[in-house]
Amino acid sequence: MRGKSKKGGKRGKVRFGYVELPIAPMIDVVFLLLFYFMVSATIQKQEVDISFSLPGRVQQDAPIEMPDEQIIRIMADGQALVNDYAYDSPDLPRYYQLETMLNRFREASESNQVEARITIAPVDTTRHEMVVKVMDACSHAGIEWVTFAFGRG
Amino acid sequence: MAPMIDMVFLLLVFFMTVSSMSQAGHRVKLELPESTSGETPKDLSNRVMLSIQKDGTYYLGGELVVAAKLDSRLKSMHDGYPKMKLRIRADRGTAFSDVKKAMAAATEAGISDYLYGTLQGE
Repeated sequence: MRGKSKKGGKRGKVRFGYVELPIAPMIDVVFLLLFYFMVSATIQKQEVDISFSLPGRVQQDAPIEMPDEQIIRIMADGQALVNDYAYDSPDLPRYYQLETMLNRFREASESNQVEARITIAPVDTTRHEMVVKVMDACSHAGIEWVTFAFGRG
Repeated sequence: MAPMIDMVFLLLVFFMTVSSMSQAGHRVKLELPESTSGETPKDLSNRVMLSIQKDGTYYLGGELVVAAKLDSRLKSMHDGYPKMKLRIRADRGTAFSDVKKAMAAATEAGISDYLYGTLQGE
């Protein structure tokens, strides 16, 4: 702030006093910036992983025995089929019936002391999110051995 | 007044940093499927990211790759890092045939460990 004083009635003598930073507009601007970044920094969903392995292309002399294997087919609309039986509606966010069946399958395999194995066989036009939903069902049922089936070409 | 201004500045710096960091981490824009069973990755080493867009366009890391060259690119990567895992980030609407092509190319390259990148579901 610039101070102006008059001494002895003389005019024209100007004395500079202390300088004060205008705080209020600065706080306004800072609050605006803060508000902008709080709004723009939307809460993003965290990315997570689902892991699996594929058997590779090693030539086998004899077929591998898989006594407790189930194949889940996924149709183009996301319908999951096991032994031609349809489980859950594809519109559901989670496949509960499939989970229940897979849970029973895992328990049966455990009682036979063999590993429960799941092979997922989607058709070419199946959307990726439907495959993820079936993998979720396997995971919720406690099945760890999951792989994919696809032919050459 | 001074402590309040300090706090506001701290918050401002925090949100500015967070906002720029969240943009820096991301690469190819995709609408990932949600998963209720996905695990937050603890070990981020030995992984190569393959993004697949809805129309079947492949991006290795952030670089556009044509489908025909995917296997040779993955093979050279796998030769360099035999323990590598392929993290597939596919759009929720990507056809399985496009994901299958990528997995077939990766299998030909000798890769057997895969990860599907998804969003944490509720």
